Amino acid sequence: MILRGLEVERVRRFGDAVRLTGLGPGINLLGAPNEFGKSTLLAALRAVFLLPHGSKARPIAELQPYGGRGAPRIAVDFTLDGGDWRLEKRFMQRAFARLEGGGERLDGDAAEARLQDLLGVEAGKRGAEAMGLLNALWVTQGQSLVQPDLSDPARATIRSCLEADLDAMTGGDAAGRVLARVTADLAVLLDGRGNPRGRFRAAKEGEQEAAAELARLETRRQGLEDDLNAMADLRRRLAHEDDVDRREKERADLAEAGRVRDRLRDYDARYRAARAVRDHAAAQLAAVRQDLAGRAAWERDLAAGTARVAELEAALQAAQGAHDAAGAAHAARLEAVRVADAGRQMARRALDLAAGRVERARLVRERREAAAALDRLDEAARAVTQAAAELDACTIDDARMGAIRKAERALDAARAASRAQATTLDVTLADGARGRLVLDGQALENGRIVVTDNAVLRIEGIGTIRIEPASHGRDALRVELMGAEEVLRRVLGAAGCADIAAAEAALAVRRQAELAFQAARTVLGGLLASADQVPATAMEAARRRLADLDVRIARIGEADDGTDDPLAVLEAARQAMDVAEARYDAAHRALLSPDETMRRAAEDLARLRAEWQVARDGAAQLARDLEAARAVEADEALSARLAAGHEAAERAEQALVRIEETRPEGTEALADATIQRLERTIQDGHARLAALRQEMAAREARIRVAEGDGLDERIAAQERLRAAHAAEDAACAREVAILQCLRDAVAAAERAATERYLAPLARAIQPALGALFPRAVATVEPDFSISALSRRIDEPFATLSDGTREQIAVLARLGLADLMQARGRPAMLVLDDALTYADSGRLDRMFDILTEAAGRLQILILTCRTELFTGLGARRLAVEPVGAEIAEGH
Amino acid sequence: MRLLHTSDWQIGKVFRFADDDILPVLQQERLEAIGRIGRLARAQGAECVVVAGDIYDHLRPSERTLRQPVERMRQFPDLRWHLIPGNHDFNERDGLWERLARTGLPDHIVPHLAHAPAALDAAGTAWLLPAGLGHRHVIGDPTVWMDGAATPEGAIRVGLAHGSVRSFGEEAPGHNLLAIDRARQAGLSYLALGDWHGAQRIDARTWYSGTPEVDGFDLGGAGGGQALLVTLDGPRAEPVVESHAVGRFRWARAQAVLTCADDIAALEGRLRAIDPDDPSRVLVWLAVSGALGLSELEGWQARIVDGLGSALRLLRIDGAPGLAPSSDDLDAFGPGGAVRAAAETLARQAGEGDEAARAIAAAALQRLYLLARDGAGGMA
Repeated sequence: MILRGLEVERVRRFGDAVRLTGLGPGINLLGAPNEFGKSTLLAALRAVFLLPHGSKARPIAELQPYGGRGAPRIAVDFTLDGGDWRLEKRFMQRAFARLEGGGERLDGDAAEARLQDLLGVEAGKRGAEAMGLLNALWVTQGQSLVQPDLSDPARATIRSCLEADLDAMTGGDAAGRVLARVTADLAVLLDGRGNPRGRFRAAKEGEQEAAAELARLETRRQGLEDDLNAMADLRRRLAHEDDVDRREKERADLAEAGRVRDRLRDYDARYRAARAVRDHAAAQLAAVRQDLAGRAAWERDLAAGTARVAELEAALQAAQGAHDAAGAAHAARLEAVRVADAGRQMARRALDLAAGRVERARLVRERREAAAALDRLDEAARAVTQAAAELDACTIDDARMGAIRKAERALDAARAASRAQATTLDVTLADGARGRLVLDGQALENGRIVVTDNAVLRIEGIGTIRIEPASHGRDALRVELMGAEEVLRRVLGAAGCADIAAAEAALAVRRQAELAFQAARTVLGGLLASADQVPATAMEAARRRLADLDVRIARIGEADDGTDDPLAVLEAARQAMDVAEARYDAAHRALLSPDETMRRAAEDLARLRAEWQVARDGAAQLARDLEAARAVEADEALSARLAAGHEAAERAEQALVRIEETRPEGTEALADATIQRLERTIQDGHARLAALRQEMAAREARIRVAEGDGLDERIAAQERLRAAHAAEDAACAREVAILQCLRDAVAAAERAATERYLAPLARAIQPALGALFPRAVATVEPDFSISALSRRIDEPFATLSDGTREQIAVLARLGLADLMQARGRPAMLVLDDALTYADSGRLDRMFDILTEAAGRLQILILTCRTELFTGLGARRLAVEPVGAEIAEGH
Repeated sequence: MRLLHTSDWQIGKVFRFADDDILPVLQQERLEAIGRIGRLARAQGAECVVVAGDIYDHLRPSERTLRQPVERMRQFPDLRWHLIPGNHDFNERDGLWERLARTGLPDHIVPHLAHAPAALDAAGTAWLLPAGLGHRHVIGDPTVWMDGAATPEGAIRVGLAHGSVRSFGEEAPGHNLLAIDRARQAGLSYLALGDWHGAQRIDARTWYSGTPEVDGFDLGGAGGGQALLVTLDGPRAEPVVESHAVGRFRWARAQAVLTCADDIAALEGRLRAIDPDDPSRVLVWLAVSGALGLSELEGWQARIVDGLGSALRLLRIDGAPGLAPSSDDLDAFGPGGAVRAAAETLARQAGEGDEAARAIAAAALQRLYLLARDGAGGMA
């Protein structure tokens, strides 16, 4: 199919008529910016070919001009199977369709029918797009990424194309129809999730409901059976209650029970009386026996008491002896203690004396030492005083010595200054001239002489030479020199020294005096208790200590003349003292220890004495009591009373036995219970009767209701219903099984057949695919989609890149179009904004593929990126306005 | 005297295999039989009808079911209807028969609940010895008392009882078991029995009447659908018993082994011959086996299942002919293609695996055959 022209008018943005010009075989390219209306042109193409002119469907409504209503008009010129056709349609208002070509001109539905026939498409439902392969080939923008979504007619078309290739019919159509029918039949019985629906579900639910109802009815029938059984029981009980003979017997039983109770009561009274008499006689007898026993006991006790008194008296005497012996031993021990105490005191006095002697010797020694210390202190004090006096006698000290030295240095300085200004005379005497040269009266020797003042040199034998040094300020120097000499003299005078050497010697003497003074003070300081103690105070303290010692010695008294060593004497006294103490302790312990024996002896004595008194008093009392009792009733009288008591008790016992022999059967309590039971039975009889009749009436009413319902019949009917539902359920299940079995078999067969005839499609796609993806093989599915690409490994379509998916989508369409073209079906490919994801290498190869395909097939490319497609050598299309007279040509 | 002997009306019986259309018809027909019995009695000059138990199928029928047979009998006041309880409607205390009495029975309908002789006619020449059941299963023979039952000298003694004269295995050992020679022992002129649904002569004086309207495919003796007209000329005379048809429906069991189209035709002919005049009176329980090709299976479906199934009142089929597809059958699916392949798969499945799966596969193949031949049922 070759599209040769497309005109649109009142289609979206195209209000006035425009025509797509330049169309021809091969590749056609419409490059234009966004919003130009490319997609509108494609929509118009789809509409004019695929939508019936009478359609008011959404695609048509969307074709209407912007901003207002209008009747879109679209016309195409195309060549098909060698014939030229013109198709024109107007939608919405005054809709029409016209198909011209091959010498015929068709209008309206006839045009539509012929068009569908030409295109090999199937009319869409209710104004929708006709369905066929063209829908899949004319891809709108945004669909280029997805593979063609094939409608059933499209699939059928492909299938028929493919089947034509095979020798035998694959029966795909027939299988598809069978499958559709089976699927539809299954859908009647099963819902989308495979659960029963419709009559299948009704059968299942009906069976459940019937079973539930059946269970309810069975329960009710059980209730009815229970009521019937209860009714039978009630009848038996009623007959029992209503029995006259039984009631008469109950009354007779009651009377008899009353008589039995009266007899029992009479017997009981007589028995009680006889037992009282017997008990009284027995008590009397017991009293006599008690009196007899009491008297015998007294006699026994009296004999025992007397013996005991004698026994205690003997014991008392023994205890007294023991007590006396213990007293004597105690007195002896007391005396021993007293003697030991006297010895101890004597030893104490000797010890004190010895200790006094030792103390006095120590004090005398101490006094001697104190006196020596006082002498040393006194001597040291005197040495200090003497050294101080010597020191004071020294006229020079360091200060005065300093002044002398300073004055000497000043004098030296003055002399040096004077000499510096002086005239020097270097004298060299000729042999024999000594003494002949005199200066100021003094003979000169070899050497230098300094003349500081006017001088007269007389040379013997020659005359005199007056020398007057021509120094400046000579007078002042002389004054200064004289002053310095005066100062030296004065300070020496103050120090009492004739010259400096004397001063130095005096200073040496002073140093010695200072050392002596320091030594004396050191000695004194060593004797003092502390550094700040005044020697006088120390001496006073020493004297006081001496006096104190004297007093203490005097207090001890004169020493005896014993020549023994006081310490040895003291030690002997101590040992004597220890011996005396030990003796005293022993005696004291001896006094304490025998006291226990003494105490026990005293206790025994006291206890025995008390016991003896009690025994003696008791025996006396017993004797008195016995005497008194015999006075009241002699022993003989008591024996006679015993015999009489025996006889009376025997008589009473026999009387009781005689009464017991008349005892009636049963007990009074049993008789009472019987009477109560019978009375109650008779009383309750009427009430029970009434209750039974009431219950029977209630049960009967229930039974009648249940029977009226026809329970058995309803149960049978319900069972039949349940069985019917079960049979229906089984039939449905069987039907489902049959249909599923059939569906599976047909689907499997169809799949197998499809796989066989898919091979040609794969072959159709493979060349282009191989050109784009070398060594790649596509997996084609029974619905003609490509599910995977196998290069080195299988790559599912969904995981491929956008570019690759887009290219495969284009190839798939190209393959389908090729297939159709090859089978003589109308085919033409439109790509709206496709291949935008391709890189330049892929794009070039796609161009090659498209170019190659364009030799067989018209391809229309719509793009906003014209520059991408410059290498494609395509026809350039343009959109041009059309004269109104052409547009409205009919 | 003349009397009509019937039993086992089983009013209210529910047939489980019957669908909602058939069930009311079958139930209704059992009621209609009462009218036919009454009319027969009148026509034959019988004075009374003795019903030997199981008037009702259920011990506790609905009120309507309870009253329906009474109303039918009420239409014949010139006849006395003597009823006894059977094992289905035994005389339970506070039960069905007391309900019936409370409805106020007309004088000519006489339930005999006690084992006591009752005069059959006003003159007292014939006496009825009824032996109705007081329980579903009576231990011991309920007719024993008849031996010692006193009736006027020279009177005709007619026994009326419900039970079996033979034990049928261990399920009911000795229940309601009647002495087979009770008529002789008790000096009965005639012993009218109920319980067996097929009419049966036990001896010259002992008969089962069978049910008046057949209610099962398996009936002993002469089958059901009759009532017995009994003529008693005297206490010593042997009774003259005539069987009269009163039933409408004919129940039949059939078996067929189908291997070819001729078998199907033969079976159809056999079943249509049961009642050529009115196949709608026929109920058939058919057991089928054998194996057929696909086209024969189609014929089976069309002629027997659909055709006869519509003609007869009821066609109940056990089993189905198996599938033995021939190569010709498969050729019907065309020389090749998916449908043919599917058919071959199904044919293979129909010949292997367990029986249930085989049957499903065979049915699927049959369905495919129909769909493929009809162009998928008009979908194309």
